[in-house]
Amino acid sequence: MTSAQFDNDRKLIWLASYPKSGNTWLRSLLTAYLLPHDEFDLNAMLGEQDPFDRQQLDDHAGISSADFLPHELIPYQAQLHRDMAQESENWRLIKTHSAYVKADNREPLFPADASAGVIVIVRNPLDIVPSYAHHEGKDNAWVIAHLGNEHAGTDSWRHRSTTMLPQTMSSWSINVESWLSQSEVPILLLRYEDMHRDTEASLTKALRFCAIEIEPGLVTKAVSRCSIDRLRIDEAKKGFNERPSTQRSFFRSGKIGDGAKNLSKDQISMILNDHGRVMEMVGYPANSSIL
Amino acid sequence: MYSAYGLAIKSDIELPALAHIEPTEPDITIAAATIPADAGGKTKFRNWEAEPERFLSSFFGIGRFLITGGDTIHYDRDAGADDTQIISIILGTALAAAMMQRRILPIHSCSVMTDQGAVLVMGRSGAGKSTMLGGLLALDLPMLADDVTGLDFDNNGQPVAIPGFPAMRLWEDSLTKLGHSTDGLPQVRSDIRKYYVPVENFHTTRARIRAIVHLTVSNETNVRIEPLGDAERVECLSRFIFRKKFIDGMGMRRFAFEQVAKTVNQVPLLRVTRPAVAVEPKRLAQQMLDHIATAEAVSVL
Repeated sequence: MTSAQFDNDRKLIWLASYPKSGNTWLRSLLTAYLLPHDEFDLNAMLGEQDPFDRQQLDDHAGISSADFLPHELIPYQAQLHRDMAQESENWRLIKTHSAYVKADNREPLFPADASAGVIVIVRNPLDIVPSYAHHEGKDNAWVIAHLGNEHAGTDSWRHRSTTMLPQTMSSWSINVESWLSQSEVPILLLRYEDMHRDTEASLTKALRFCAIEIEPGLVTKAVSRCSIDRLRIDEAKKGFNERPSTQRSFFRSGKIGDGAKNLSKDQISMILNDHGRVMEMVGYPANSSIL
Repeated sequence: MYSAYGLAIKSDIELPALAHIEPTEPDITIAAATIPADAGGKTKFRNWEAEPERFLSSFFGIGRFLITGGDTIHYDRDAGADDTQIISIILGTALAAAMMQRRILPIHSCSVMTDQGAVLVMGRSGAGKSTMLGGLLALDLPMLADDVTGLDFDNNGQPVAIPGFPAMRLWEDSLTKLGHSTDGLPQVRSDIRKYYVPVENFHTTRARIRAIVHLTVSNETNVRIEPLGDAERVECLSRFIFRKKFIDGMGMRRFAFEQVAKTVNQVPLLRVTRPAVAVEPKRLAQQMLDHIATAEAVSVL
C-alpha cells in the first residue's frame, strides 16, 4: 500500500472528497482514534479547513483576496500551504472539497513539497444525489446538474465574497479523476461503501497510510464512538457548526443504495451517462442493470 | 494630487476613489519605476520582504511594489496587468505599508463620526462590516473609512481616527439591492463586478476615537453587546492591524504594541455578536450606538 511521505517540509495530509462522500465521518473517526483521551466533540474535529479561511490567506500573503479572481489566488494559497507545513510541529489533516487544480503557471494548489499525502474519499454518485439534495435544500434534478457542472464550486465569489476562499469542486467525475490521475502526492483511495461495510478496516487503512501505529482496541472504540447513529445524537444534542441550516441536519441515515431507489430511470441514466467511466474506474457498476 | 488618510498624494496613475486636492508638496509620491531584483529588505517572507522603512512585495501577474521612507510607492508592472489591478494594490497593501512607515497604524475597520467622536467597527473579512457601515450611514452619520481606518494620537496623547477616502467598495449585487445603478462607477478591478461608490457624507478630518467595536457573527438568535475584558483588549485590537505581519517585517513590533496599549487604555472596546441570519442594518447600528451611549452614561466601559 502507498504511504504518506513525511519530511520537515511535507506535513499536510489532505482529506479530499466531493461533498457528501464521507469526509466528515472519516474526520470523526480519525479524531476519536488520535485523541482518545479527549471527550469526542463534533465541533472540534481534526481536519479543519483553516487554509481556506480568507483572513488567514490575506494575513499571510498581504493581499485582499476578495479583490482577486479565484484562479489568481492559487499561487498565494500554495505558498500558504508550504508555510503551514514548515511551521507545523506535527503533521496536519486538512479537509477539502476542491479538485486537484493548478494555477495558470501550472503551480498546483496542493504542492507536493508540502503535502505528505491525500486520502481521497469517494462515494457512488447515485447515493450522493439524495444526500446532497437534503444538504442543499434542493431537488434531485438540481444536484444531478450540479454533479455534472465542471465549474461548480463552493464560495464561488461570482457576486460577493465570503469568509471562506473559493474551492473549485468541478464535476464529480473531474473531481475524482483529478486526484486519482495526479502522481505528485501519495494517495489512499477510500470508498464510502467500504467504510460502511467494514469501518474498522477502512480506518486502519487510513491510519497506516498516515504511518500511525495501530492499536486494535482503540480502532474498535473509535468506530463505535463514531457510528452514524451516535453522530446524529451528538448533532441533535449539541448542534454541529457545519450543518447546512438550522432546519436541516447534517447526518442522515448514510445508507448505501438509497440513491437508485429515489431516482427516476431518466435521472439514473443521466448520471451513468455523465459519470459512468469514472464510476467504473473506482469500482461502481455503471451499466444498464441499475436501470 | 489626491488626499487620503490626511496625506497629500501625488500619483502618476489615476486613483478613481480619492478626492482631488490643489497641488502642494506631496507626503507620498506614487510612480511607475523599474524595481531592481535586489531592492527588498532583510526579512524574506515568500511574496514580500521588509526591513525598517522599506517594504517590497510581489503580486503574481500584477507587479512588484516598493514602499520606502513612508513617502514613496513605486510600482513595477507585470506584462498584461491593467491599471485597476495596480490601483487595488496601491489603495490596499501599499498604502498600509506607507502608513506604517509614517507611524500611523492601519486598523482593519470601517468607521463613522458621531457627535462625540469616531466609532470604529473592526471585524474579520465577512463579519459584516460593510452591512454595519450601511446601517450607520443610513443613520446619517458621516463616514471616515470603509475598510481601513488610520490610528494615530493627538498632541495630548489621545487616540484619533484618520479618515481614509470618500468611497465604499461594493459588489454590483449589493448596489442593485440598495437600488443603485453601476453606471459611471469605476470598477475595483476591470474583471470583477465590484465598484467604488462615492460617499458624499464624508468626515474629512481626524477625530477623537469614542469607541472601538469588534463585530462577530454567531448562530445565536439575538444580538449580544458586551465590553471586552482587560485581558482581551490588547490582543483584540492587535489582531485587527491591517497587514499586521508587515509590522514585524519592518521591525515595528514594539511601536505597534505601545500604540495599541495606549489606545485600549483610553478608549472603550466592546464586542457586538450578531446572529448569522440577516439583521436589519440600521437597527443593528442604532442598537450598538445606544449601547455605547448607555455604557458611557454609567461608566461601565
